[in-house]
Amino acid sequence: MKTDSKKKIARRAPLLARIAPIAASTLACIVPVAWAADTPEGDLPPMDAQPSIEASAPTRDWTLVLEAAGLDTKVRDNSRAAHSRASLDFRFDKKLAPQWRMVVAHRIDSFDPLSDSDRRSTVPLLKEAYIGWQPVPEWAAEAGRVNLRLGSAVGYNPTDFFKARAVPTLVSLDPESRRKNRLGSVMLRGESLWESGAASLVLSPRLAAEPSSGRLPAGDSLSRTNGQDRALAILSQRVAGEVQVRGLAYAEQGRSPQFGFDASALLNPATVVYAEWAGGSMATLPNEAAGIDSDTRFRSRAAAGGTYTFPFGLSLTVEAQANEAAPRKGEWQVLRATNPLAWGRALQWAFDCQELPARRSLFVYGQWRDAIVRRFDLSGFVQADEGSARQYWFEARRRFEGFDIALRWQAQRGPAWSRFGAASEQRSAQLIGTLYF
Amino acid sequence: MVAASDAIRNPQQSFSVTTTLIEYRSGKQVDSNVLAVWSKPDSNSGQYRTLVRFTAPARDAGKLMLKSGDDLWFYDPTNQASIRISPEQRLLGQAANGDVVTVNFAREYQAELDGEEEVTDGERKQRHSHKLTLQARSARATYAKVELWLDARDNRPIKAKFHADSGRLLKTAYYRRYQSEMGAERPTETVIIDGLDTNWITVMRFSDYSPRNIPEVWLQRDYLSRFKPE
Repeated sequence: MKTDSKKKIARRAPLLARIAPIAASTLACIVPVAWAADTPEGDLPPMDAQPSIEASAPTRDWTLVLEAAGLDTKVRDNSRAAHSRASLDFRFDKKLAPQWRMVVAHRIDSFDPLSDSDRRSTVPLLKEAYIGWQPVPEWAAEAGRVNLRLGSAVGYNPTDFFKARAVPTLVSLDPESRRKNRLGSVMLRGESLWESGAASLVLSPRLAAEPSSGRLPAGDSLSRTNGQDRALAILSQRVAGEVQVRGLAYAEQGRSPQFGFDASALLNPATVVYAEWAGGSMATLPNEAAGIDSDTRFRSRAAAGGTYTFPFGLSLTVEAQANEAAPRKGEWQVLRATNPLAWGRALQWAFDCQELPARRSLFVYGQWRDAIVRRFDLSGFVQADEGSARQYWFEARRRFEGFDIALRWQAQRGPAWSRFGAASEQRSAQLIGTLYF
Repeated sequence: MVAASDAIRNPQQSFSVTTTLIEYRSGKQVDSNVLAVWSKPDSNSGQYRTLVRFTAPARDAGKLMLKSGDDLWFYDPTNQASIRISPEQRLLGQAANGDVVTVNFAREYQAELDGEEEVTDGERKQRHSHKLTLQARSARATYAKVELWLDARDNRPIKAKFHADSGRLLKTAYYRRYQSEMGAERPTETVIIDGLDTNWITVMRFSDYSPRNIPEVWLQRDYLSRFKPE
């Protein structure tokens, strides 16, 4: 798995031991004290009050985000590893002419293992680069590398057909990071839009040889995203006041057609519910990974859940996930015991393709903006696969004017046959500073 | 009277406006945002359907929020995700206070005149006003009851108190700093005081009103990734 590479990282004194005092003192400084003064309703702000940001800030065509992180990791053999990361994320989105638009999104990650034995590595990622043409608001087309992200679920998106192999770099485990740091596929997309929906057709050609499982190239190689000819048709429609549905039909060279359905609705002013399903003729996950189609039959993948926002501001998402192509607990155990190579290949394939390798899983995700104090956000999730395999992720983030400081912790545990038990990384802590321009 | 005050608060045609939000705690400025807002009245419900693009701070620049009734979508260009959110969900600060500004009192509420009152406006001046009590026509309205003070001379909104179903005061709004915008004298500042914590004040400042042709197709989920008006 991707985390295997971390074994090569130097076994220096744990970085966490070095950054923990800094993190503690930083967080102590950044969490503001409660307001002591009492302002009666009559004391209104003066009319000449100026905001702390430029009120007439022009709409820019670009955004730039710089990030630096120190990471301390405990791997499965109980050794520790440390590394640092510096990232630059640039996005440019400009109208070249009234009907023409250009989008470029690029990211560069530099990893330093903080040791003498391992070398620094720099991974450039061209996430998006496309030209858009929109002669009228109701018609649009794009050509180039487009990040087409689909699905209303939060933790697992069966209908997100372009997600396979799209995350090429070491990223945090949370869904947000996986979505922000993924590659678009080279495609030609045409879309017709109307008041309450849209229909689109996507053609994504084969431009490079598809890599064999476990041998994915680093970076933004086209073999990650355009190793096969693919096509996708999407129909999206608002069917009632607050209900939106989407139907999908997907074709890929060498595979049976897959179909998808996605719906979201507002249940009440505090609750959103959603459901996502994809299905089609396919082999079991280990056979898909091995390229064997002997046990092919119709199989479904699904995710359904809801987000409830409590009056004090915490939004809690509970999502049930299922994959009929994934082995059951006992089947994983047998596979690991009888064919470790196929077992490892299947887990790696599921990881690369962002597929659910568990037959059933539960995902619970919480986001609490301005938790307890202003500009202090808490978020976290637990992914619980059948068979007591668990993944945990938590983040505390303090927002300042123009930059953030975050402390992130993640852990994976479970039986050795499970995806979380097999991951080389047991747990890690990360201190991150992010600058926004 | 209520319809006339609605027409003063917001243009009756499609428009765009720059909104600056300044948030105070105990008199100290703690946060600020700049938003570009496109609004279009629905010909049936009279409600404004609104597309909001975050301009500043840089952290949120380019993010979009679409509000059409209770249908709310949030779009982040960095992950291409259009996420349905609930009206209670707070992804980006005080933008949700926009409902205090865009609410259509005449369509969404049943008004009753309580009488005349002297009231202090947002500029600390005494105004002779008509006081009205508005009851929501629908149980889904964000505010069950609104107390509204309109200037007795010209129906300018002066102040409003927004209550929950339980009767609890949720927000108090002062409409002030009247200026000529899109053919009428309109309040270019709304001061919103939290009902539970009066130390928590949000000032919404409106500038650069401009009439806009807003195609219907802009106001739906699937258009968010394409929204690029300039």
